[in-house]
Amino acid sequence: MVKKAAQVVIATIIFWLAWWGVAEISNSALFPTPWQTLDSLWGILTSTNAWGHIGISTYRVLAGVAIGSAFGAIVGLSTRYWTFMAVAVQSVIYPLLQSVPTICWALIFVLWFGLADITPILAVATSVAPFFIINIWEGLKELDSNLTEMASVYTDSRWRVLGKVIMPMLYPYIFAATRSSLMVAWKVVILGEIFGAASGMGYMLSIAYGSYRIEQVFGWTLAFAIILIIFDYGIFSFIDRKYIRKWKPQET
Amino acid sequence: MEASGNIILEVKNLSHIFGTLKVLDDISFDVKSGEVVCVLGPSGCGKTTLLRIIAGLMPVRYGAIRIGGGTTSNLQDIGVVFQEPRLLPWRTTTGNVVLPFELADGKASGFQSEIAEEALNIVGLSDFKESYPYQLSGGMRQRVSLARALVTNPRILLMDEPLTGLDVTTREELQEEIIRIWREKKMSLLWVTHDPEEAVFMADRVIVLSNRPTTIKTVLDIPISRPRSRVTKDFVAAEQELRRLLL
Ligand SMILES: Nc1ncnc2c1ncn2[C@@H]1O[C@H](COP(=O)(O)OP(=O)(O)O)[C@@H](O)[C@H]1O
Ligand SMILES: [Mg+2]
Repeated sequence: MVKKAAQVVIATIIFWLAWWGVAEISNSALFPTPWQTLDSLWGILTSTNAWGHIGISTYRVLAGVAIGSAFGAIVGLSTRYWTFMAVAVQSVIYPLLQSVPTICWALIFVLWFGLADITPILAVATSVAPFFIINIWEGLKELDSNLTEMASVYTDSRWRVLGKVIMPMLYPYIFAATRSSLMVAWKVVILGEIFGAASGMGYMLSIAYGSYRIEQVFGWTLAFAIILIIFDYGIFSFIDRKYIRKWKPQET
Repeated sequence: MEASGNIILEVKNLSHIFGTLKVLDDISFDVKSGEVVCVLGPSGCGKTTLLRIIAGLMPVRYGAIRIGGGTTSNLQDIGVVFQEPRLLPWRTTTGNVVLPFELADGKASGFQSEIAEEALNIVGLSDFKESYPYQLSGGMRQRVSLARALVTNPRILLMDEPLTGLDVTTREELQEEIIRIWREKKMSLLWVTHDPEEAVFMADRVIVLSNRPTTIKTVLDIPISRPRSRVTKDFVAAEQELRRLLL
């Protein structure tokens, strides 16, 4: 543990020094040093409206993931109860969602809804839905039919079997989907906000870019990276270590 | 002494075919109240299929099943112990044992939780109520599975080779304990096995099945008084007889 922590510190320092070195050598106004970037980040974080933009981006990420996960989960689960859906998912729904570039969805939603909250939210939803569909699909394939058979000794209700046995078996898969979704969602929301919103971190990035304030672009980028790392390494690996690993079926 | 004469389970002219594979061919027998009936047959002859049909987990294709006098299996009338413990790995021992109530009623009442606790005492797991399946040995997991089957207070317990895969000591220990529980609860047991020694130890009556297409070869009464010792002359003779019938 200590050794690993030390390695993390060393890697961070090396990254920082390398950045600094390259910035100094290039000696260009287009390549801010780490210190200039930190300075700009500090300026961003202490300005009054920055947290509002961070907040609105977070809201869009969470709303988009909520809609995408609900849609993906319903579609994924329906394949178990309705063979038509299994075919539809395999041949149409999943390939479509998977292959159309996010930017195309984003453009379509801008045309439909203009610069509204719903635009980046739907861009996020469409890009994360496939994670849930495919993970639930995989989860259902791995489903232990011994357990569902045992459950059906005690009830005729498919809903109860779904709620008490199938869903809990799928939690690790849903967790994995949520985790990958959030990483993607943050990237998509920034993209969507760059040309599909009048607020949020992506919008601020595009303003900094439009006015050639390169250290602001770096500052927002760093802020973005930090938020992502907190989300993923902080929250999700914690939940994973504490709950999800226990959840996975050992031998039953 | 156990059999009071009431028929709890009646299997009539049951046949089953998987595609072109005939696994059960005109099987008829019944189990009376308080009786232990063993179904002994070679591997692959259709014992699990028979049990699944009786448990209502597979439709009756040819023939009929009557449980407790009715044609449909009332959920309260039967309990099933499978070859594998089939425990939910994310639930504790107690959580697994209250599952039948949650599945039947949505959630377990306080009274039902007490029944679950009592079932765990009966199977000797009162010290492991909060353990997860992966923390238990194979024998203990099967005890949990037994407790889960007992909570609904079934009139007949269907057991599909529940002790296969356990070591000899654990197996014999559990055989004795299940007999003890059976005497306390005064239920019927339909016990599937491929082990003649187990059949002689457990059964009042042994139904010997043939190879596929599976028919009933013989029915052998085991009139040995309980508690049974595995080394008496009668015991060994009955075991030899079953081994011969299986060949
Ligand atoms: N769902 C099924 N579909 C097709 N064949 C099956 C199915 N279940 C069991 N069988 C076949 O039926 C035969 C009897 O199986 P089973 O009842 O499990 O036997 P046993 O429990 O006596 O070992 C086996 O040959 C098995 O391969
Ligand atoms: Mg079997």
